[in-house]
Amino acid sequence: MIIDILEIPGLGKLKHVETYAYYDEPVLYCCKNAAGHLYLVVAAAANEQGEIWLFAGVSDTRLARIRSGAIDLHDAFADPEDGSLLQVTVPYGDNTELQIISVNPNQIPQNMLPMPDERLNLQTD
Amino acid sequence: MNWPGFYPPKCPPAEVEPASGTVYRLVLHDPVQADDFKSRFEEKPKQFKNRSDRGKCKSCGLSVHTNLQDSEQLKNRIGRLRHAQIVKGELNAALGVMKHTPSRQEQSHVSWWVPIGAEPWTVFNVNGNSSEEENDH
Repeated sequence: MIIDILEIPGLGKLKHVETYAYYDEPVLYCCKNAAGHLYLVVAAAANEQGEIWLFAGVSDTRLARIRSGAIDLHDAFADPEDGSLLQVTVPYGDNTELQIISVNPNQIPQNMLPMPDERLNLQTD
Repeated sequence: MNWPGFYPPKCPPAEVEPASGTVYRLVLHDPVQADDFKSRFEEKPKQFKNRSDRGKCKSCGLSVHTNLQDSEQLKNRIGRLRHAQIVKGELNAALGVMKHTPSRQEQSHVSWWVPIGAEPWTVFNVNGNSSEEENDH
């Protein structure tokens, strides 16, 4: 998913902030919208409909705790600050619209989330 | 070396070296298939139409690790890759060029560009033995 050309209804145009995992493309990264709201994004799954991404809204403080490893990557998505996640499905076809739903993290299968105790270890101001 | 026609100008970049050494890649098929070695740019070129040539070139490359632990860590962190298999391959100069592209979380990440006519899937195997080696026995 190429975030610098992606506009998600409800979030607006997103700008890349920082990549935490890259595999043929960014698969775990932070981005922000024009209003300055930050989102942590992970490649969660792929199925016959398309590729599924999870967006968790994060405050500056929480992002700092995720970057430092104080909050693990599992809890970053399983226990989001605002109680819900956005699940974005990017269809394989070029002309199909994104499918976006708000989900309770309890509805997300565990195998779509980072495993518990996986932590970033980045120096944070 | 002939590069795919969809590569942007000056791709691969100048500061690369011939492909070599042991690398690990996450794949979806067992045995590995040609589809496991398609770049994101090749899969979804329209998504890159507004990107710089440098960005397009990066997306023409394939990700591999020289350290198995980095591949394992990625599986643990990324749900979409959780069920992927880690294959081990021995690269050689006929398979293209590579550039060490580490990040703070993936110190052994390497970007690898594959020329026309190369068959990288023949040197990778889920169990760590290349298909070529198996055919020799």
